[in-house]
Amino acid sequence: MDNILSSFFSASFLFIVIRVGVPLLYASMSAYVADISGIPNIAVEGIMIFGALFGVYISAISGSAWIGLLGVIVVGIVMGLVMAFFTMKMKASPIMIGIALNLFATDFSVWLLLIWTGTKGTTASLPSKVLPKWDIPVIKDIPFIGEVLSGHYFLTYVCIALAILIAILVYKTPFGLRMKACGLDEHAAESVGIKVNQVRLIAIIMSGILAALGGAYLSMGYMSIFSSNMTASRGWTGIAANAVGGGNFLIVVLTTFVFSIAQGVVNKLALTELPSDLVNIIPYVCVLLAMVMLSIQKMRKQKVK
Amino acid sequence: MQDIILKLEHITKIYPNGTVANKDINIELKKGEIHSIVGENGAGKSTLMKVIFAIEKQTTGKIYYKGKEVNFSNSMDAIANGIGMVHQHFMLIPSFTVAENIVLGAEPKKGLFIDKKEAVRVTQELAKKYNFDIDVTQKVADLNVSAKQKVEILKTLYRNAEVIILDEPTAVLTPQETEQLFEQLLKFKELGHTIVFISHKLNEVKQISDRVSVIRLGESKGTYDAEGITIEKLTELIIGRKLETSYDEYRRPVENPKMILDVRHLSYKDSAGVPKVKDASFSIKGGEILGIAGVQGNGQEELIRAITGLIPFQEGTVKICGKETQTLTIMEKRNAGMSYIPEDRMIDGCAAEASNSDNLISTTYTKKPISGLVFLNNKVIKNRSQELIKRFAVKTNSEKEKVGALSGGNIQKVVVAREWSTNPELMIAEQPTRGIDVGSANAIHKELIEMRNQGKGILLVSADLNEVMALSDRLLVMDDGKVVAYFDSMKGVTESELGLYMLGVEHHSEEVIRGACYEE
Amino acid sequence: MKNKSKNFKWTNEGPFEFLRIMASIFTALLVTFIVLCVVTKSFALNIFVDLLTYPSRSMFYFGYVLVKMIPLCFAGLATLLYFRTGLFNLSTEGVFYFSGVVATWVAVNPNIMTGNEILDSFITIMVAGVAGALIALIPGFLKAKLNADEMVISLMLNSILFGIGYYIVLTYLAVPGISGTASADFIDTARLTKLIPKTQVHTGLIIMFVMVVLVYILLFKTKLGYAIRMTGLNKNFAKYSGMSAFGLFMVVHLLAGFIGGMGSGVELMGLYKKFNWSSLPGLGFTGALMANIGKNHPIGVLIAAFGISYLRAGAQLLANSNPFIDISMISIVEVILTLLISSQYFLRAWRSKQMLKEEQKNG
Repeated sequence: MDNILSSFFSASFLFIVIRVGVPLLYASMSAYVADISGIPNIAVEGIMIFGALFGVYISAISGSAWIGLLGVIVVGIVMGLVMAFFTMKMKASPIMIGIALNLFATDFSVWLLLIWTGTKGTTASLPSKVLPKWDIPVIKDIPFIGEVLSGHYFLTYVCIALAILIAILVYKTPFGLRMKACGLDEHAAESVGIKVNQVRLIAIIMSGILAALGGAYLSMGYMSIFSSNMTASRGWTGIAANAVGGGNFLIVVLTTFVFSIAQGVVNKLALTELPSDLVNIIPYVCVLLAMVMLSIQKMRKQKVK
Repeated sequence: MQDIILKLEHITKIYPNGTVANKDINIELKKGEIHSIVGENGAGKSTLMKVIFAIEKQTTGKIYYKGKEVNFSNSMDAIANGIGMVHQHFMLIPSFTVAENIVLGAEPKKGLFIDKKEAVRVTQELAKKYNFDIDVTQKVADLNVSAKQKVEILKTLYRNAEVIILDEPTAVLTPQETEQLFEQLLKFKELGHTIVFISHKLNEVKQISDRVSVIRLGESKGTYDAEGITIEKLTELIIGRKLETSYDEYRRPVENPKMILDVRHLSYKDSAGVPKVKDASFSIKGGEILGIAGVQGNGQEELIRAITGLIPFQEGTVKICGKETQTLTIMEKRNAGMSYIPEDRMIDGCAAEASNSDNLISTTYTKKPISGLVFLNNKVIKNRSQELIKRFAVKTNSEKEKVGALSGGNIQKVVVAREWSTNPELMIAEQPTRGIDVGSANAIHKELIEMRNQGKGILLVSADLNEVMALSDRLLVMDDGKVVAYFDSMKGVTESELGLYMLGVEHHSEEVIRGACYEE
Repeated sequence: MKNKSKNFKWTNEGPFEFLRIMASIFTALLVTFIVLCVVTKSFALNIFVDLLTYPSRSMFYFGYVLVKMIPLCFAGLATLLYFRTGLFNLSTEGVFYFSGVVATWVAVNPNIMTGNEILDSFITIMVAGVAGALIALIPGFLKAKLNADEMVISLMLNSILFGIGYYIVLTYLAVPGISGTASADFIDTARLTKLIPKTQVHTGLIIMFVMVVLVYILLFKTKLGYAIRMTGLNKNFAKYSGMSAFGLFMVVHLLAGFIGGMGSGVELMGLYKKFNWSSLPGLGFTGALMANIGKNHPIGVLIAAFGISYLRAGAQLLANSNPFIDISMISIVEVILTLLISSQYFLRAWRSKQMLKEEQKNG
């Protein structure tokens, strides 16, 4: 047990936290960009599933991981467009649309799996490609830091870059200001001539791409195959992190980090003799507790006022 | 002769549902003047402003701007042409800074990014130029109402507005803040801006304006020099000739009335800490209608919501039929004898997607014989609904039709019928006939009088002066959250007299107002 | 009423709603057909016809449809109670799994089982229901007391319940030496009896119909149902009328949890010999779809469950002979139905055009 405890303070543990945290961060960012512009994206989980599946499939038939990645982005855009069309043009509830797309992704991916591989379990039989791992020059030679930061997957670095880009977009550009305005008060946004639907369309497409990339990370790096149910509520964890953040991107990222640590702990504890089924629920319990604490805090705020 | 900057010619606006909001309105704005537009609630001022601002399209009529006929396609067009509007409900985003709110939609850029420094510099400079004492790096949420209004004004100035329309700007301000606003308006005038000032408060209008245009029932009643017209004359123009409706012939005296509602020292602050109701006290006995008159937004709504339990009030007591009610739930208050026709029938008063009968039983569904321990008695519900529909002459296909499919007047009848059906001791009627046809309104009025004659106590709140005057036995006037006048009889009270109290020109002494409470 | 039939128009509210649903079904099936053609790279009309007719070709097949609609219907009924109250709770998934574990514990326990067939299945199903009700109280309380986001919480709860449930199965219920993870066989008297010979149809079908009727009665004939409907339609109106949201939310969660738990018990005791679920059943989302497609009406849910079960059965039955077909392809129908039925503007343009024409005709 002492071994386990001490291993939580090692570079390899932080490495694992980043490894398991990346898909969560993609999911959180996906939920975040949609939510701040005023359309909650409940379909993050489903889009991740499609991203994971199509990344594998397209890379397998094209023979190139990069073309696969391009396909993933297209899938993200298409899913974003579907959401945008039904929520904005057809006036359907974003929640029902999200629920429907999640179920669709879960089941339809199984069917595609069957058609493409003849089995319903995994894509192990497909010659799919994996995106490369990167060793970062200079940094990799720094003790500790190098061990933590270097040697991750390509999409890990993309994720970090995108997080920085989103922070800049939201906090530094006119478009970011307008996104927030649309989410906070669409009438106020309209009154100064902002085209609310246009802003939201772009936001939801970004959201789709982010979720799809999160899926691709799972099947083209973290693992090298697609298996049904591989997203394991990561999309929902992202939605929860976004809820805790309440519009503040830094808090969203930090919450995601906390959830990642919980997931990292699970990965460590999986090596012990503790019952794995119970250990596996730790991240979910964390998210649930975070949501409860969030509501208590909201209640208090209202009462103080 | 000054230039005419904006001219409205024969503007008529008829809404698709047939409501005539504006009828042949003609108004000319001179460049660099402060021009007030006054009129009662629902007189059509807001619609007119929406037409100018291209939020609504006029049915007929023409708008000339700087000598040319214009047809703005949307409000952006109007803004781009130099017309700015400060809405009554602020269009601000609380979590943004002042500077961000001002530049939103037209941000200064440095490359791809917002130039935040430039935004702060430009807006701070703008504020300085117009004598606004405001720190533009503050969050709007941290500002008080008057500062928020300044931000709204700065927004229009940032977009180079030449004509600035202010919709009831002083309704939310203290007298001191109002003075400050007026100084600023004079400064704008000096700098060549044209100001349109929409208000109820006639002494303010007289103080600040160069000219005043009056609108009554959607029609323009002329434009006058502010210097040359008295407040009394303006009041008369706004309110018009007395409508000879009176329900006196229906009134019958009630023997030995008991105390129904007793409100003492009720005060309410909203969630932002702004006092909305200030120390209101009054009581109602059976067999009388106590009216509360006042321009909308002066605390009447909050007073009613506090009494009915929809919002918790901080100070004071409310007794219904002798029962202290502060800790009671809405259900318990209703059981104590309260009944309530809410201000907005679509928000609180009904479930539009539910049937007539569903809507007719929402306040009685737990009572026998409408329901037993567990089950609803659908036969009784059907019969009752049909009876109520018949008694209140609701025009509908059947009790199963959705309430949302009815006309406004008929929906209101459903609401009144339901509240009547609980057989209450206290009926609180808030804007009971707003926006409905005359026939339905008359029918509802007669019901209220009938209830009064049966010894019930009725609290009537209305922005419609004719309505309160025709129905009330006694009358309170509210202004700025306070009871400012009390009349123990309607005999000899005139609209213009009430208007003076409503519009904040005069008020009764404490002692007279204390008369609104009965001794126990 | 006579007056009404005279004025029948497709643009009237009722007929228009019917038309919308029919158009949604047509679109869903059409898309399915096109996808089939694409996948098989042929004009797949005969496969499509097979898909639609296979389940009605024999009593056994049709029985399969009926059996498979039972859990869908229970999940739909539970979810419709949430939706009717304006709650987006998807915990039926976890409730189904965990109540199943509890039901198993009862059904393999000779100390509890009495040996009486009716009594034993009754006890098992009721215990499952009570377990479900108690579980649902967790998100219920968090919603009623703290106004916590019920959807995320219910989804997390599903995973947690699965983890704990699976652990219990592994540790306390599993029989050593059997391949895979499974409990001991249920005691025979706990299991539901066959209803139709030579099919899998069990008496759970009757329980399902009873529950549909009970939920119908609850919603439309009782005080509680009235409060549920009014709260769901307009929360402000319910509050103004004097209804208490806290109590109502708690009761709705109890009831929905109970129905979900019961469904689990019925499914297990009707179709299984022992507990061997190694993953979540996916009924949380499916229940939401049933409620949505069935327009939040118990009869609608019954029809939706039958329709979807029929198509799923068709796919399942064809799956053996055709490598392109699988039950999962029915998700195309499900998603299109849900998207179109929840689209307020679907066919609205057509309707306004028709109404305009009508008006012009009448001057």
